[in-house]
Amino acid sequence: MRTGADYRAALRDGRKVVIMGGGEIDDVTTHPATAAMVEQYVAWYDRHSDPAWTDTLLNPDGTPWAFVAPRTVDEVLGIGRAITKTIFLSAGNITHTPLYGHLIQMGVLVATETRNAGPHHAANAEAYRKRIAETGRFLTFCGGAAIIGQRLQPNPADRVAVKKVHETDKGMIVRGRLGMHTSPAFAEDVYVGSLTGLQIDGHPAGFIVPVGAPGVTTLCRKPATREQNPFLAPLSSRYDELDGQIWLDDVFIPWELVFAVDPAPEAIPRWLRWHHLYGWLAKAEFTLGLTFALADAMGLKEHDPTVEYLVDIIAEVQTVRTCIAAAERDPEFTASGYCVPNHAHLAAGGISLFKARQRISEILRIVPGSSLVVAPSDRDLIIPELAQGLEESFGGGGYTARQRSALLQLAWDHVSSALDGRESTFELHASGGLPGWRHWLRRSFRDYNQLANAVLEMISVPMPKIDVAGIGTASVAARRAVSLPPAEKK
Amino acid sequence: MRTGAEYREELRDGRVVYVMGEGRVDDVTTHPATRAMVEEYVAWHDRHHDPDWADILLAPSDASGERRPWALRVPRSGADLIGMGRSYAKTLFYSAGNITHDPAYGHLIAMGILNAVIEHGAGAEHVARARAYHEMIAGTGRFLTFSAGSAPLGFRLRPDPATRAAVKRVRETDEGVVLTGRVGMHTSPCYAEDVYVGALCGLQIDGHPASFVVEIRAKGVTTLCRKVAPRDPNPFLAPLSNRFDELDGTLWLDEVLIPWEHVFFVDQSPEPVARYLTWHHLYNWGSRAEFTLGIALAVTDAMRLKDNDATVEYLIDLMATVQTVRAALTAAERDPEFTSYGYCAPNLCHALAGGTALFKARQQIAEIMRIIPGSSLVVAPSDSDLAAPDLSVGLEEAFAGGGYTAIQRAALLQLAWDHVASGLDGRESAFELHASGGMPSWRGRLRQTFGDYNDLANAVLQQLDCDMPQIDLGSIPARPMAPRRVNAPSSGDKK
Repeated sequence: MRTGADYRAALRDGRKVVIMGGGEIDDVTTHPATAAMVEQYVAWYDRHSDPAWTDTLLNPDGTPWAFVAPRTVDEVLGIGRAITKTIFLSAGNITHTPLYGHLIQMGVLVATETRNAGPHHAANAEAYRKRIAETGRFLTFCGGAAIIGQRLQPNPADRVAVKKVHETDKGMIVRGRLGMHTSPAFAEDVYVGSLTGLQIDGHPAGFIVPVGAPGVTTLCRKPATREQNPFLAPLSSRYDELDGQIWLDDVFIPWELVFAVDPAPEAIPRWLRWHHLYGWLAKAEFTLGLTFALADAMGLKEHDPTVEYLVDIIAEVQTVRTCIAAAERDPEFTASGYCVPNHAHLAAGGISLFKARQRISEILRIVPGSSLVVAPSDRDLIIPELAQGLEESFGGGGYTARQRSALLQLAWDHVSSALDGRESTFELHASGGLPGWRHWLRRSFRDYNQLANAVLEMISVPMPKIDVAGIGTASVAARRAVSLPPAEKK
Repeated sequence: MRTGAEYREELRDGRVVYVMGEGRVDDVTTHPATRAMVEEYVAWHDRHHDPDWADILLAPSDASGERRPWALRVPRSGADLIGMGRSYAKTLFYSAGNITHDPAYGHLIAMGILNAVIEHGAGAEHVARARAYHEMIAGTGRFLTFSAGSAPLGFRLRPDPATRAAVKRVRETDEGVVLTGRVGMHTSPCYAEDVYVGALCGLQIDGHPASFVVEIRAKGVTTLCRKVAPRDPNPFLAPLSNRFDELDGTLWLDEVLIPWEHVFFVDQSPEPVARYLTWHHLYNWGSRAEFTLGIALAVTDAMRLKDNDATVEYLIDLMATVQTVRAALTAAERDPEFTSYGYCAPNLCHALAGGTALFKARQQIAEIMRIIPGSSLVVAPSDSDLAAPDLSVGLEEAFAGGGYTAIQRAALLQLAWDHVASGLDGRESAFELHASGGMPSWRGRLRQTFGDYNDLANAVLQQLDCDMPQIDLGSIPARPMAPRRVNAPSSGDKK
């Protein structure tokens, strides 16, 4: 595993990055909009060399769990433990890491195996996966969908994200604009999925493009608005991973980074949904931890309604923990022997949390009372004419005013900030949202016919044999189509 | 495992049984109010001798080459729990989750008694008693049921607090203790052979809260069962209600001798006895939800709605709940806990998460089942209507088609109605809202078993750049379960 310093240096690769509202960034490692997140990734790498983290992040052979291709339940449990411990540190806000990149490539590898368009595709995918494992290279993911303007093109042939300009013996040249994905300013490569519509030898194709390649421009969204004072924004000032798009202007993609892949909705995200659920769990667990801490800080540990609120969140957190435990301990295996967390269990957990997340945030806003709204900053607490009054107002019960205010500001930043708004908006789209998770449950649920026919045994009348398996094999719902106006509006 | 016929014969033991509204039942094996359920229990026993069920109900051969029932297994590994769980799932589904008490459940009660006695720590002699009783149950399959021991309402409203307990000790002898009293709601007493009465009965012996097992047939025992869930006598209209009404009841004790070997010193809380029961409850609720999903799928086919998007969305709502419970049971068994004496126990935290989720979802599950068939559910005919000469042609036109005859479609609709709109359904809901403490108890157990209060609270403080107090929230899980509600006696008797 490279060091954090090696990673930081690798980002000075001539990449072209533009921040919406902020203009072009010469160096993401030093620019105020991106430097803090670079340092979070630096810490991610360095943690692997920290003895205090060895048992969590390295397998018994000393290999980072981040880059283990799992073939057993124990390996899935080890990777899961590494994910949950690291993702909690950012309160679930850093969803994309080099570990996640390795899971992307695991999905690409298995998607080439199931598509089976030729052995070189799987061999190339495995070679790239090994490269990640050996170098720690940071890969991120883009489904490959076109941006709204492209989808509104009058000519249907122009409604794609990427077009192949020409091919050579060594690779293909592509041009286009790719929709939302996450952390491109901090990653080194982007996997672009088959929603681009690109085909190789009649097969749906995905490809990997280096962020620093000539012709690549990365456009990141505006940063989540935040206070500059970390006391008021302890999370927002550190964990804004920046989603973005990329523009490709005659970019060369070598053939070994082009993969004929299975377009099924389970193919590439095979391991990613597991990671998504860990990310959402981390946010929920962080909320629960904050609510616990506030119950203590506000002197509400013995207050029955507060404890009931706590149990509400505990029930949601425990349900997700339970679904993840079931998914890891009752896994599935790919044809080539890789161990995959059971999607049916994961889908149940994801759906449960999708339904609960708004309520979880509201409970954290409720438990502290209105002190949450009027808590002071550290600067207010040292203003001579305010200090004593604020200490009287916010100190006591084992907490200084500064301590209690710090905790209240952390809660505010977690569930009432623009970073919280970004997290919600992002997660409602990133993995297909609730409709996507419901559809995955529909496809992964077992026993349609067994259940339907079993109940008929209660009826003494001879009954037709029921076949409702088609419900579970329905293709994924088509992406929503945009309607073109009858004529161009001026 | 004894045969069903042997079980049926055991019930002709002179027991005194009343069914509310029906009077005294001389023989539960033949009385119309009880015989159908007796035959379900007969079938439960006989299934263990049916080769078709062997791989579901019997464990792999032991050292002596014998395959013993999962129902009577002492679990020592996750694999044991998985085998036991599979046998529960398959048998409970068979009654649509309506038969919640059977000898397998009784065996879990007996394991819970042993657990409770060990946790209470009254000494080796008491542990040996509980172990001997458990071994008897495991060896014979004798049918034990459970009462927490609480008193009926009239006792709880008595002016003198000293007389509000369910039972009182009349005297002691060398053989045992003689008790008189009235014990509140429990299930299937008229089909069981023994009832465990928990320490909520108020009995104290040698300074210990005491529980006991009483034989239904014992002299001085009267079993009063609730009224039968009203049902149409035609099985076409009530295919479930006619078979699966397990009858809850109360127990009267009139100077009943309880031998010392059936007296157990335990904590007053019934929770240690319920150590394995929570798991079984979740299987039961899961089987009911799965049965509902099964009918919904069948009705979707019968009403030709497989391609209707709104219907499929309803099905996914049901699947999400069913799958959550499946995940909870899977995690509970594959990520188990071990007792201090080496038994493997399902991980309660996982089971409680599943139960809490299902408690919240069950009303919606039933409503979806009522929605999917459309109003045909309300107006579906009976088999006798379909055979009536002046109606048959019209009803065939109205209800047949799409691969189903009118009688087939009507049979399925009546099954759905009986499952989610019948007196039996109402009983199931009323029962489950009380039987294991309802949602408040499940939430209380989750509060007590959740393990990371201090870890999570202190972990979030690491985001703050100032020294913070160390947080200790150990008091939250340590708080006892909410006390049972107290009925306030009036200041004077109302006339």
